[in-house]
Amino acid sequence: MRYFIHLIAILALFLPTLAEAYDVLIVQSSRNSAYEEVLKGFRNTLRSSERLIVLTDYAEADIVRIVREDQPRLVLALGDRALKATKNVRQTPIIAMMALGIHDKSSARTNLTGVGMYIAPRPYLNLCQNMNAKRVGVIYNAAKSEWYLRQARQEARRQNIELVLREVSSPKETLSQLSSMAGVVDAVWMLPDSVAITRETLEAYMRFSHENRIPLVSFADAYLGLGAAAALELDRLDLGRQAGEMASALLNGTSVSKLPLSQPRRAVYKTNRSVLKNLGVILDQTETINISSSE
Amino acid sequence: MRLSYLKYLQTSFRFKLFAIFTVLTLLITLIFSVVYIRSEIDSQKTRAEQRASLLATHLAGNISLPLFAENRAIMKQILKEQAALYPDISAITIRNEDKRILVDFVRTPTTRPKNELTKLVDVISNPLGVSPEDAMTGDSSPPIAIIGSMQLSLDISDMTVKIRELTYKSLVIAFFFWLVVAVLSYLVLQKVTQSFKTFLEGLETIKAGNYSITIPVERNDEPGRAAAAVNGLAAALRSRDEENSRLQEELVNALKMEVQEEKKQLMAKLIQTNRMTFLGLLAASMAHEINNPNGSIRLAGLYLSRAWLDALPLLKRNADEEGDFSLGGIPFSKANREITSCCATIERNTELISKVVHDLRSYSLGERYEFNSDVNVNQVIYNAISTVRAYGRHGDMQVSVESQADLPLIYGSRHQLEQVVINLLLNALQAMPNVTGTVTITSSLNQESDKVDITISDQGSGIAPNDLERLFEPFYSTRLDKGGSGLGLFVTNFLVSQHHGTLDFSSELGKGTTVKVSLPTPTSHP
Repeated sequence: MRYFIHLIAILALFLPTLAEAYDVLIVQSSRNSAYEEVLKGFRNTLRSSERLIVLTDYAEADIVRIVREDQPRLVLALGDRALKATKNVRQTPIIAMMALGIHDKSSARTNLTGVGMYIAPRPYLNLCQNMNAKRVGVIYNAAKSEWYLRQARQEARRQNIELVLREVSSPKETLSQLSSMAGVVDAVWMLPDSVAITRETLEAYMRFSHENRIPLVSFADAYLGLGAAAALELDRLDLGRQAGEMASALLNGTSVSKLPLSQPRRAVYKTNRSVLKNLGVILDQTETINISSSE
Repeated sequence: MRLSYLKYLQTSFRFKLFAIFTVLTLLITLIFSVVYIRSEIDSQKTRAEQRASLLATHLAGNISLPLFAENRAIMKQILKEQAALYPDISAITIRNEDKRILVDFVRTPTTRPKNELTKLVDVISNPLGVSPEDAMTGDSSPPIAIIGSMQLSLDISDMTVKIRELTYKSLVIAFFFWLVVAVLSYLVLQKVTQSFKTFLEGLETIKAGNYSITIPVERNDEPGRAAAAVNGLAAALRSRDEENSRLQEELVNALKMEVQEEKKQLMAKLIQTNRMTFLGLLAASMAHEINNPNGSIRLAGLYLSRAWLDALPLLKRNADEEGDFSLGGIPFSKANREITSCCATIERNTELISKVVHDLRSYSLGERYEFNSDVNVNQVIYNAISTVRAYGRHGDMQVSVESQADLPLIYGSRHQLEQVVINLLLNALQAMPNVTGTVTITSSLNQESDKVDITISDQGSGIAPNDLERLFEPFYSTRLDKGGSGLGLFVTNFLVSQHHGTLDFSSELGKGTTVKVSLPTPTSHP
């Protein structure tokens, strides 16, 4: 039975190779609307031939072999799983998106570029400024977010905001580190750090905000419903366009080394008005607006 | 006394109803009590289970974060606070996902409660939370993550005490309920069955024969309506009883009068019979008295006749010689025939007198019981008609005889058969209205039955059907007031049966009666 499934998978993967060659191999972690939105932006920018592989549709997909067989000019990896799947693709340029692990040291390769998930610190700190938060608490894992915190510290100094930093090496430390920030911060800035924020510790952030009446500034609107006061979320369509521009440059002969890992250009600003009202926070922007950032 | 009371209870409708009702009420009360107590116990247990589940889930939610962080101090603090809030918490044990005990809280380590309810729940991470990657990509979160477990023990000693108290209270309430229902049912039954009791007492009085009682109708229920019906029945019986008494008295009086009347009639018949007997004896005596002179007259007549015959030639010669002469005042030529005729008359009449006297004597002396085998039925008929004619008055009534000449002789008593025909003929004559009409007597041989039939038909008033059924009863007569004895047809039937014959009457009111006497011939009668 297992051999039969493998046979079907292999046939499904290699039969399309009988068709004509393509430029971009799109490796998508799973099927969801966020990836579709990103792809829509990508395709709007880049009109090229492509092949799409959704990893969750296959029991086991050998991307390296597909790349070797199909010889695409470019690989577009959507999500962390797709990034991992293309780990052993060494020659073909890879553009990664929607992957938190793109900043990990382990992921660093010469043929890899892409757009990170971290929105530049400036709009976050601007938002904190608008909330009159002069002391902003941040919990982070050095391996995941140290590179981002360097930018954040610079921007904080520029805006005269004090960053109260708490480093955690495992999620279990988050609780005590959060407790230690009680009374010493005016707002908590949640980073998309998979160690500092987990499903288990998420409640601690929300409870901390509620118990200490401190607003949470998040990176995803999914947390607004759970108690975060405001969020700066990626503009996925623009993220796709951004990746499309990078792909277009690569296909036109630009070297990967000349296209470093970039940050998202645009973010969508969203708030939970009820939480803001309950916390007594008044924002200048009363409507949801787009905040642009640039490298 | 006690035994009789127990027997009374066994047969008491009221007691039976009361016993059935109280037993049933007791059973129902017990069943309801048991069901109620059981449901309450189940409910208490369910509530305790639910409370334990809710409390455990609540505590698990509270300790999920410190458990994830494995912060024993915070967990102990939370448990201490919760134990203060919920005094029935007796112990809590918290384990991490490796089953290692992180906190083991016991309220009173020295004395654990006897009755404990233990609940083990998994401690899970916040199910609403999503990881940063999922939050940004919109991917669905993996299933709920179990980060440890918590075992909660609740002291349910209070629940046991409550259940015991509930049981006692329920049983006491059930007992008082049953007691009240029993008392009320007794009062109701007493009221309801009062009608039955009154009705039954009335029935027993009526059964003893006292129809004059009236059962009181207390209300318009079944016993009341039954009492009213029985009252009506008793009244009808009372009325019937009175009517019976009156009729019985009237019957006794009527019987008394009838007996007196019959006694009179019987006496008259006895007198008549006595008179007939006397008449018979008189007839026998008279026959003897007549017979002697009649014999002398006959002898004298014979002598005179013989003497006349001897003297006649002499007298004729003398007349021839000397001429006619007077003899006894008349000429000899005429006296010759007259005297000869007188002699013949004397001989004939004396012989007739002798015969009549002989017959009378034979009748009165009972010679009629002699049976002979040469009885001529036609002769019997003629003798009977002669007797009846000699008997007396039958006005303008005619007796017509149609006899078959060659009838066979039969075996029997001539006199008895004559008496039969005489009786029937007299009846026919007496039945003729206005003393006119014709009585027809016929004799014939019935070839089929080989019997000699004597049929006597009249044109009289006929016999009523009721009378026809009683014709052969002794002393029954429609002419008792006119001297009838009521024995004629009784005797006639008896005599015919003595001859092994049959006597048949056919009659039609207003048209007449036909009587047929059938007598067996020697060939038909063995």
